[in-house]
Amino acid sequence: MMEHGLDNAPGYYFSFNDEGKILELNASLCTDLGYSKEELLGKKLETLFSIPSSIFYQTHFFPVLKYYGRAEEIFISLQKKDKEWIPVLMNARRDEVDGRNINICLCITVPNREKFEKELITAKKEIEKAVRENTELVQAKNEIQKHAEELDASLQLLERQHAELKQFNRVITHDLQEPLRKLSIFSNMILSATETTETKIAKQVSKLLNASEQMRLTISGLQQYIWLTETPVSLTEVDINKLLLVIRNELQAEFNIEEVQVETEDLPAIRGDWDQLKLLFYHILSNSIKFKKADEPLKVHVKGTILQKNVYRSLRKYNFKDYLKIQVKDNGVGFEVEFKTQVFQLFRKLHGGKGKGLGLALAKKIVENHGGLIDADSSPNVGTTITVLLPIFE
Amino acid sequence: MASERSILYIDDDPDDRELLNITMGDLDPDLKLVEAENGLRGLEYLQQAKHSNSLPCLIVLDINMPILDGKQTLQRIREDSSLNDLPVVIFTSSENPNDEVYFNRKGVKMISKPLDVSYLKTIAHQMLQLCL
Repeated sequence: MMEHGLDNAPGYYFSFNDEGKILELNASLCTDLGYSKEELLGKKLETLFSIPSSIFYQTHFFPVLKYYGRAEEIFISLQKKDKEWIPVLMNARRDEVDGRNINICLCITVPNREKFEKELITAKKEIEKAVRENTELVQAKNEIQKHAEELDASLQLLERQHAELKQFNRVITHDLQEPLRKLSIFSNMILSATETTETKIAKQVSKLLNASEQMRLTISGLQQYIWLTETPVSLTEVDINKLLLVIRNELQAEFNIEEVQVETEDLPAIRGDWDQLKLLFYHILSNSIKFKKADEPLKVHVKGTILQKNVYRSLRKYNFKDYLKIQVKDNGVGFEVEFKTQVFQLFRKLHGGKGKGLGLALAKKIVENHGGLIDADSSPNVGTTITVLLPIFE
Repeated sequence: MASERSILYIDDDPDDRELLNITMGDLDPDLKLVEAENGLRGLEYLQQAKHSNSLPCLIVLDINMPILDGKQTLQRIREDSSLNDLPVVIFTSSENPNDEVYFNRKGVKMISKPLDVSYLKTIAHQMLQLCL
């Protein structure tokens, strides 16, 4: 006879022999499963188990118990008479009584385990889903950003081309018309004059020559500009220090001056088009010479620094790129800084006479060809600083 | 004594300034043609003329000029209450139809720079008639 305490314990007790026949079981188990003790004693152990647990009992639980003499923390489901399952956690031990093996089992119910497990699984699935969706979001965001950058680049190109077209329009409707008109009016003056002296004719012919020369220069300037628009840059490693020395020597020869003082700081090499960059600094430096003060020796200081620039405002979005910033500062005549946008336009001159209004327009074109920026700062009678930003290609 | 009659001619082209000066001088030797090489210089002259009570009777304005072009200069003249009554004509070689539309809208007459001397005389004559 089983003790009352064990019989009615808040848990299930049962034992079985190696043939799988139930030897003993407590009242709690019988009551919860809905059987009487008599209905179960001597029956096959599987009567207590759900079908999956029966299979588990045969394939894993019993072999483990037999081999190791104990099995612990086994999660199985008992099956009530009405087929409902009761999940339990079971410990089992093997013992020997009168030379016969007996297997003793003790179970406690774990009704919430399944619920917790389900919740865990659901939570895990939700986490996986969230991570997946986040990855998709990040991907989508990257794609949008890429498109935006492409759009931005196209827009900038269009804006630049539009500005160029406007300039070309001005050149055709004005800059080229002007000398043509003069050719016409001065020829007409020579032909229609009633009394002419040789000096007067010579003066008018020289005006004709000036006009045709102006026209030639305008067309050749336009050709240079278009050449820079249509010729792709050929990138090589360019040593800016060396480039500046070459230009300085050329300028000294061209302008027949003894010494152009070009102070440089150690400038890093960049990838660029040697010929175009040479043309760029040629025009910047030759402007310093053309617009030097009459009463003061020209000094040009070239300084280079590397800076990280947010492309948004300049080129003008999203990425950070390394730039080489080159500043060419002179002590020349300078100009009113409020008119600085004009200095980069084709055939626009702030100073009458000197220059053709071409150099800085070409310089801007070259800088744009390199994906860079150019800016001017100036003050009358103090000097001009031209700042060039060139991206350092990887 | 009545103050000298004058026309202010703002143009960056020295040849054009010389031609108009000679032509005007032939038509009316008493009229003074004041030359300015760009809009800024022109405006400086007008300020000065305002104070000495010798404003010109007409402003002849080129369009394409460095520093301040014709449009910007006209804008500044119109913004100045003591100058906005002055008659202005645009004198240009620009063949840009947009310019014509622009100045028509501002109520300013646009005269094309001539291709021959006799037409220049006609133009100078027209200008003088505007200068009452």
